[in-house]
Amino acid sequence: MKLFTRSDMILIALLIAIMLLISYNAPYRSTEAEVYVQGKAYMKIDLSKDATYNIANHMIVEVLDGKIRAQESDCPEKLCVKQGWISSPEVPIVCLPNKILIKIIGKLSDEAMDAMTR
Amino acid sequence: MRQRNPRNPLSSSTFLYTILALLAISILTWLFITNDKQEYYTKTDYLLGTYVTVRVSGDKTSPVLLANAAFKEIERIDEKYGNNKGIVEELNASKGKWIEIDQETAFLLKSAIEVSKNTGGAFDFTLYPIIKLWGFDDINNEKRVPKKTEIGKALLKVSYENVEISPDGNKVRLLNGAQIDLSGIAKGYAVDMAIMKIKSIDEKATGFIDAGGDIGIIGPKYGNRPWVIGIRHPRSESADKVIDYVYMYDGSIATSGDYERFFEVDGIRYHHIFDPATGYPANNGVISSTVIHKSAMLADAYATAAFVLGDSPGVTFFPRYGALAFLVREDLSTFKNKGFEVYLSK
Repeated sequence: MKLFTRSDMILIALLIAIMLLISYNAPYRSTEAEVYVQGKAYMKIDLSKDATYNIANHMIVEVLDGKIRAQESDCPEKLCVKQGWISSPEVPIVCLPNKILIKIIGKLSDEAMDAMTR
Repeated sequence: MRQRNPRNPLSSSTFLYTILALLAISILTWLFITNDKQEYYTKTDYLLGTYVTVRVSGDKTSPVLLANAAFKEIERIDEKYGNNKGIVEELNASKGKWIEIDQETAFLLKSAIEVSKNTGGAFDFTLYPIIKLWGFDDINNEKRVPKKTEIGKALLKVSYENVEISPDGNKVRLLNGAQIDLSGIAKGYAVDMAIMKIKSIDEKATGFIDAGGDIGIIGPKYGNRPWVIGIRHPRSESADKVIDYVYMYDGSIATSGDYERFFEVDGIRYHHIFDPATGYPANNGVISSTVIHKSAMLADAYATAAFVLGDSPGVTFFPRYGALAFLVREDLSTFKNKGFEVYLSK
């Protein structure tokens, strides 16, 4: 059977669009991302180190300036790649075909700094 | 190959839709929870020799109106108590004569004297002759290391005890050639007064005022969440690096650091926070001091005192005066007054 129908695509695209809109709102300070493959914890990624990682031979993930993105993926639609950079825990990178989920942990949204005393 | 069975509830399509539906519901819920009607208005202006930011949201009043009222109040205090103008200029030129003052000035001077007394003179608003000698009285002035004799001579004029307020509080005079500088206290005072102004217009207003790192909380974020305040890392190339975060629902916080204003001669850093006992930049092992206090004026004054007092004699007595200190030493280790830790977690 077909995994994706046309309406599936539209739905996914819509959802991604909403996620992107939300993620545009504020920059977040985060330190670590968790990667889940097939629902199981696969690895942790330090977001303070600029580097690239191979996720289960399906996805290449890039870290730059505390942000993370799927640089390459072998999934058909590459929606995870198109999702671009994330730096907030509210918006994980999701690759449905490979069942890969990348989620920033440690700090919640209102952990973002409001002001600085100096 | 697996056989296709459209009724199988675990078929890919059903699975996909379930996930998508759950995602959609959670996103909508999240949007609903976070989509607070309260909006924050932020206004920044250059006042009190620094950038002042007011972020405010009103309960019944327009935040723009509240911010403008706050800035008007800060401008008034800047005019009244800024360096080289107003009452400060008048007093410094008074040559020991009695000068009439209003209630507000009496309050400000008495507050400054009280902090000086409480800190054994570590905070002293009569340091102006020393500050001037080193060139820190004006951004454009040339900074230099004065001779020992010059410092010794200027130091004779320095003592908060040289400021005498008449018993009725209507007059003040400066003895022994003393000169005052209220910049260490006026910035915080302006924050306190601007918050009072906002509260008098809209009691339930929330937000904060940041006057060059002296931060006073008007009210919790969206009425129930703390404001997240980063304490600047004292040794970092990037100005936005933080050594720790504090979470504040109310009260004020201020920081003094040797990185704020300094110059270097022969590899030695000379910063702008002077030890009233020596006339030299304070050097008691602390490179950054942060103080939380109910009042921004007192947070600022005690932060300065904490920097001067440093590790020894130290600031263990601060909580007695409602001040909680967080000190960073040269090796980046920290000292916290008992009670400060409650601000380090939400």
